[in-house]
Amino acid sequence: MKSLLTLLLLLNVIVAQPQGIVGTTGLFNIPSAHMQTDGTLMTGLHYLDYTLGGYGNRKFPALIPFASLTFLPFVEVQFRYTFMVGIERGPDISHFGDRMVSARFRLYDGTKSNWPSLAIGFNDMVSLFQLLPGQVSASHFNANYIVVSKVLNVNKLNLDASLGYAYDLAAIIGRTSPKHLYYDGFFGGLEFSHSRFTGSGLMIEYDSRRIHGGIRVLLFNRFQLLAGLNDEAGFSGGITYKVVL
Amino acid sequence: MRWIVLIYIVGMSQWLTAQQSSDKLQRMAALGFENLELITKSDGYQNIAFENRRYRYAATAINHLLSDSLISSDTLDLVMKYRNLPITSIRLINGQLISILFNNSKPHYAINDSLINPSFFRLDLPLGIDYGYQLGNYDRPLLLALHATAGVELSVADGLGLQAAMAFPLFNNHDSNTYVRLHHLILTHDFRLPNQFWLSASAGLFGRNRAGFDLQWIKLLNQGNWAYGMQLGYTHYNELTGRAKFRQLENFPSFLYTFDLSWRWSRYDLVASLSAGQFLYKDKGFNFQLSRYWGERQLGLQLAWTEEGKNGGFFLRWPFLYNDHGKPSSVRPRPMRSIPLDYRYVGNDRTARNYYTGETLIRRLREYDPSILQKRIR
Repeated sequence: MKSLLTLLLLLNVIVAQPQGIVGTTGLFNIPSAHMQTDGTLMTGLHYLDYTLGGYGNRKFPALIPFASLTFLPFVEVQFRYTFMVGIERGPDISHFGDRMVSARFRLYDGTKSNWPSLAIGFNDMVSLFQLLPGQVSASHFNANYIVVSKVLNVNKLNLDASLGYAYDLAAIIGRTSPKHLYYDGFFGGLEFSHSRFTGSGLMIEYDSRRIHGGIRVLLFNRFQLLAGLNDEAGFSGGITYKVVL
Repeated sequence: MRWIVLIYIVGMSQWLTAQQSSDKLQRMAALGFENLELITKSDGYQNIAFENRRYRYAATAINHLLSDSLISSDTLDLVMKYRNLPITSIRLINGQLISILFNNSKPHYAINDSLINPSFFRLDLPLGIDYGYQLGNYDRPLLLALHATAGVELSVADGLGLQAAMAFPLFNNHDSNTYVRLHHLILTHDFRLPNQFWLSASAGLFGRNRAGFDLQWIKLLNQGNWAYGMQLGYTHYNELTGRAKFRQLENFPSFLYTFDLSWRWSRYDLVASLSAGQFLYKDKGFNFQLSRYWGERQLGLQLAWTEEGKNGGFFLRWPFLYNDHGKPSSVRPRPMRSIPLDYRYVGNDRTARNYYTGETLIRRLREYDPSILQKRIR
């Protein structure tokens, strides 16, 4: 009974919430069910290896400037622009970009209970609404998921575990499915961190297609540096500035 | 003998109170606050009404006043004004902040002759930037038109203000505004009517090169948790230089009328608002906005569904440069107050468009909103 109580206490740990390579809250390349502090604005620039996503037929890496906002304590929204690096489209085309709007909703906050937090998310979701005729196929980073996350603390070491499932929402609501789903099926990962270095940690994860290992460092409680490799030796990383409004 | 002592004590006490109040007003005038008045209400509370043009944001001004032991040591109501119209009351009891509410006194309880440090005919020169841009999935996805703006703002009488600005091109590969031009020239009269009813009437050259008149009114309910109102406007395209390329598309008169309803979730200062009617370019339909206020910062999402089509996007209003604009004087250069950003997924469309009518009381009412102010007062 005593050990059970100890375990329950260990489960109720709150750590500074990290942010992933896609620009929203998560581990390296997968989302988590955690939310940032209400009003957190994160803006940054990430480099995305060509192996991530279906953009440019997986031939070109990409640069992604983005801004994410915790609009409400249980809602995070993101606007992101993705530029392919190295692609040539013609003499009059300086570069070719792709816009992406994402949103995450926390359905259950597990930080005050023994249950894990639960969230659902929709990446690159605007094209599903068909604002422009025939736009569904332009969705390059679409992902719809449900995910649970829990933090375990042992001797000032934090273990943040996430497990989720991604599905094709377009097919469910009767729209044309995107050519490529960023996540498709089960994904999960672990992040190890120390209580003295809030916001910094080491990650290992499976994103439903490949395995990633990553490291993040939070500097001055404002700047997050993120870097990682996947099992195809593809490097991704970047820098984020974080502020609470 | 008792009567003489009593009369002496009462007399001294009133003289001391008057002296303290006078000291407060002088102190506030020295700090740069304007349109100062002292009113003793029938319920015994003293009101000190003032207008803040020194600090960019109202909450900053209140924080300065509350940290001043001379001003905030007593039991009184501090009443914030805009263009000499009382808007928000901050009640202090023995120096402790008790409540912030929209002011419910008579619309005009002042005689302007008795104003201390009046704000009328003092020229503000706001300096800033204006821009247009394209960011989308196009052959040339990044285009920018960047202008420096220099303006004038002048308060003429209670609620009556004049504002104008010139735009100077700095960089432009986006549109045809490559020359020095008049950005806007607007005369606005704000009215405060009884029962939380506000009205702003404007005439002149508005944003989007529309000249004409505009009338907006809003009724607040439950301290601003609910609001409803209307906008009426009649404008014609008017670009004084005659050099804009989009003239043919816009060169017709446009009658605008919208009915507006909004609800605020005060816990998060989240405002959901719906406008329905005819927007600019005779576009009929709906426009829904979801805005969150973090003090003077505003970020929101927008969805439009009109005859022109569907569109969505986000917008924000961000403070520009520094907070202390210095004491107002006969001529005062200062940075513009905030910089807006409006992004639409379908760019350069005509869905649910409106024009800029300058700084009006209705546009700035949320700045004085008690719920939003309360969260930014230390």
